[in-house]
Amino acid sequence: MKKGALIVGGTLAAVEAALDLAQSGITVTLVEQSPFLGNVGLDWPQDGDRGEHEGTARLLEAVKHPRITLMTNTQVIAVHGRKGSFHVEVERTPRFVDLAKCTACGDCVDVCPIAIPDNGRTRKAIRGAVHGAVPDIFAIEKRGVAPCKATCPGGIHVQGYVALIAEGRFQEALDLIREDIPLAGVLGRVCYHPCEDACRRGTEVDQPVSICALKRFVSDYEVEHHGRPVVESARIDPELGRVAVVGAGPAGLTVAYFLARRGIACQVFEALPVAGGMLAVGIPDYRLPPQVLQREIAAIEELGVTLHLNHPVDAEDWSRLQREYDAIFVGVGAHQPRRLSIPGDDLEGVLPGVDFLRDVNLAGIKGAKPPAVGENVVVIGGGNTAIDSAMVAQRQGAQQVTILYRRSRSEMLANPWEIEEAEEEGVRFHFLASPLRVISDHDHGRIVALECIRNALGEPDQSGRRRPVPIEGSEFTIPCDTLLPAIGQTVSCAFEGLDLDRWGSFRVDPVTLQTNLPNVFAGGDAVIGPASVIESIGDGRRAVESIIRYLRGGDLTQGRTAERTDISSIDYYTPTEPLVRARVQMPHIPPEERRGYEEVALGLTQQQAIAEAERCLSCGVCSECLACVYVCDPAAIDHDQKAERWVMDASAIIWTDAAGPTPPVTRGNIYELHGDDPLVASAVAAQAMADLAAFRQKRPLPRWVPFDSDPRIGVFVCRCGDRIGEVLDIDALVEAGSARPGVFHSQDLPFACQPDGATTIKKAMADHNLNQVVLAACSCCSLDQVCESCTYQRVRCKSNLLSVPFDLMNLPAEFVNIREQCAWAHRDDPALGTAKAKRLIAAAVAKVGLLHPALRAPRKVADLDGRVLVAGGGEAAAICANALRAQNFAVTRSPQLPSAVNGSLGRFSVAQNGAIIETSVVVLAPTDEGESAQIAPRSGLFVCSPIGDAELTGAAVAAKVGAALGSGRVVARHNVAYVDPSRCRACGTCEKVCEHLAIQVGEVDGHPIALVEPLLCQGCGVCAARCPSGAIAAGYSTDKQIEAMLEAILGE
Amino acid sequence: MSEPDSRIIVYTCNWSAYSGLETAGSQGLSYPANVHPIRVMCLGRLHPGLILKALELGAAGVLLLGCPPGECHYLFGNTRAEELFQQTLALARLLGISEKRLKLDSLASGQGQHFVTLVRQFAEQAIGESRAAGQEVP
Repeated sequence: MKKGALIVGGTLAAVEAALDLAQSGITVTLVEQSPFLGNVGLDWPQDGDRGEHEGTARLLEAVKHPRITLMTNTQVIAVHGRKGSFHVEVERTPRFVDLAKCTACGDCVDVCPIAIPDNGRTRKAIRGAVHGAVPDIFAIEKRGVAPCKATCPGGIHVQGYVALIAEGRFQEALDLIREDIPLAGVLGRVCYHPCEDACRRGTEVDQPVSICALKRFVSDYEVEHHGRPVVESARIDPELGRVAVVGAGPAGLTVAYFLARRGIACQVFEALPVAGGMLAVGIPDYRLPPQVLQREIAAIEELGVTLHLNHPVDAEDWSRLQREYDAIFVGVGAHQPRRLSIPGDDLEGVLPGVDFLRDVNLAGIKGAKPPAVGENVVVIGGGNTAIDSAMVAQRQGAQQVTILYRRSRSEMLANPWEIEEAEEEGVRFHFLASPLRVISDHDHGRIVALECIRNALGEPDQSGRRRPVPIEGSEFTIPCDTLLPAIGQTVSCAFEGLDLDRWGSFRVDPVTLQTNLPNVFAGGDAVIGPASVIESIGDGRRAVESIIRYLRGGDLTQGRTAERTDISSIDYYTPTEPLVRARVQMPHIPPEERRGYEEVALGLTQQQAIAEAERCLSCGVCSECLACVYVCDPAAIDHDQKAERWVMDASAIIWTDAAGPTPPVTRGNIYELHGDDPLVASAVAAQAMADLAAFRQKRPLPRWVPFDSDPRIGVFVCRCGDRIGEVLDIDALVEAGSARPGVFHSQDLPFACQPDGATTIKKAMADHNLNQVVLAACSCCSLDQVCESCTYQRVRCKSNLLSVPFDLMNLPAEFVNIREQCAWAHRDDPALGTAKAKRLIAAAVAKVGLLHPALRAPRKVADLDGRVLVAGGGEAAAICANALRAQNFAVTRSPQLPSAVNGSLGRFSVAQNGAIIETSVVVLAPTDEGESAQIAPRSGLFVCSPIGDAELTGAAVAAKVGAALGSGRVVARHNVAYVDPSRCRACGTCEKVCEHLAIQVGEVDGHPIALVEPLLCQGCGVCAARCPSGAIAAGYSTDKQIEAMLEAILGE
Repeated sequence: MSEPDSRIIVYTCNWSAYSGLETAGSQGLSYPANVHPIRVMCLGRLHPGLILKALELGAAGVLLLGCPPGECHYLFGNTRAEELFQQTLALARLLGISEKRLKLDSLASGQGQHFVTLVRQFAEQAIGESRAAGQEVP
């Protein structure tokens, strides 16, 4: 902004000052940090008061004024420079709702699951303006990404689905989960749920929300009610590319799932006889029942993904894949067990835990014999594979199972709840001991015992855990006939041309997961080593983004980072009184009954799930459940909006109460505006006006389109999304409109108030050579004005239409409100509502078709010069005169009130001490109320009231004079009256009845006739009603037009 | 209560009264669908001919709603309207038309519920009268 005023804080006073400045020709930017002007910090009149409507009208005038830019969600960060050339650093925080698209219908509020207690009531995370505030556009309250989502490697909208579950919207919750991940039922059972560790309910109140169990619940609920997972699919389009996935584990399945949902064909090659990777062969059935996994895989296949089982990719396949596919994803996992590397580790009876689990799992699938275990089983290791190996060995008939771990319990990598379950089932733990050698029965070569050594804990190692240090001489042996080492796995695959790192994992770019071959991507355990399901799924998501960009030839890295979202500075929401309710305990099969492979954890009931979900603190306020996105017809919601910062220039700054303390700049150079008194606002505006007087811009001439042909009317019917369309028969209205005489085009619009609506009208006008428009929407008048019935959308609708290169306001346009007056008032009887709408549209068509030719003339314009007469003995006179001189006006000062004032704004002639003074504006300063009462109001005449603070009054009046004169031009309304000279008898009735002195009997070419002064005419039409000869046409609607409207309404 | 085809014309001024009419709809208040509004800038613009024309064309009644006393946007328009309405009533008497089919009232901004009450009462009264007069109602 160059050479303009900046007003900080959206108080009512700020709006008043902005209007004064803008009307005087000065460019104004008004910034308000909240999403609404008039919502907070204002002493706003009570609902239903007249004052409320007037206040709204003032706000809307500011919205409409071409020289005012309103910026909500915007705050000043710092002010640099000095008066005359400030540089102001501002930040706009996201509203998450598009100001040009939202129609404030409120559908989003209905579906928002977040209700925050607010002064005895509740507010939703998405909310509209309180009645009367602007912009009447919704805004989302979002503190930031909740810790649960920020921590999730899969980026699941955790707070969102928890919020939906709390409302009993289980399918929506599951659908939301599926936007981020496949395999909800699997994750609901086996995820290590870092979200729960991050949950602020756990860190700040009591225990974390049982998030993982909730995910399982919604997945089970669906299966219970639909029999199987139902995933929304897309049509596969072969043109989009062909992708091969090597490995059907969680990473590979995730890639296939998302690509298929984006319409991209995918072939998945799996070496094992079963899909699922470690989910199928590494996790025992009592933790993850195979049918849960397989039905979720089946749902992925239904999307159009083809699985090729028993299909290891060999060197020949690899080169074929590279030839035949546009991109390849490698997600082969890490299945190669690390060797124990102690004497005897190759004896019979030693079986790596991961192989043991695989063989047991595959036996279940293929019906083969599971591996046998002895009586004394020893498992080596501290991870989940060790725990599961122990528990499975127990189920396979072992008498005693011992887990040997070289560090202590607290260093174990296994999930704590899994360790507990193993203990419950009788697994013994031997901590701080390492195996030294396997002792065999020399006769049979079978193992009989394990020699071990005790450890102490030394310094932390690279993993941060304390290093085990063997204690010399502490060797001991334990009986052991089956040894299951579970000390980690590595990647066992290699493909020609793909680089590996020193641990044998595939080397990829950490952000894009692209390998050294540009068309090959890799992720999951094959890259990060043995990790978790959710991390593999997270990798799959990232790979999908890269693959899609790659297929489209886009930049793979733009806007992406491997960094986690930094949530350290987010000011999360905490309820003042969080609901006190302990974390739900999921029921389990009692330990003594756990002998088979049936699922141990039994899931939550519906009541438990809802109660648990209600414990969520709603950290981010908005949960990003996206329900608003799905319901929003005009697609106005954008959860990805980001904050912006920029520097703007301002020559003068007005700082209001709503903006907080004034910034640390040279005080006195920034004008402070306290309270909401409009007089104070104008007085402060006068100071800024003086500073900026040199930069005033002349009011632009109104555009005018010559109109000389017969009416060619276009009828446009707005559906308002469904707000009108769900009640009225829009097609019938369009058809009825097209049947009216003079109508050459008729169509519907989804949203008339959106920029697209104006563009559509403009195009139709050009295509069909239309010169008149009837718009049936929520808008009411097509006049260039704001009144008490106006709404933000109506003002926006008119502004959009004005931005169309036709000045629609200068064309005969007529707006009909079929929303409030038909759809909403007659919702109970759509047929009658539609019939009424037809008549109202017909009436509008009849009206525009009969526009009086004289009323198509250009609006009268007059230039104003800067002459001001300040007369009277009131105390405020001198103050006002000085303030006007500061604005560069040519001020004439007279100590007495004039004896006569004739004329009006721009052309006064004032009798003063026998002389006549010509001036543009008259300011009168009476000394007392007696003098004051003598003054009759008229345009261009300002009065400094003798009551009140003279300093304030004088300055405020100077601002009003500036507003009237500053833009240097006055423009007549376009609904002024017109006198037909051939019918006027110069009887003077009109002159007597006009209170605005706008019509006088004069002479034209020697004939007496009533003459209208368009610059004074207010457009009320009272003169037309009284004219005995019918010579006066009222500008807004002539008698003929009203009669035609009556005929259209009553005719049928 | 009212026949859907017995139409009522409601002339409103552009200011307070129109806002009242709009508020009724925006609050989702229901009123008879035979009520058809026509807006003029000010009720002072309506001479008797335009009011009686509606009856001539078959309206069951004509209701005129303007700004409350002292709140006229044009300062004196509602006073002018009152004068013209009295002339209209006089003409209606001459023509043998029941005065109950004509009414002048005021409505403040935002008074949606009051608008509904007014039009319901008036529609019932006017339709009853036009029927009693044995007039054909379109």
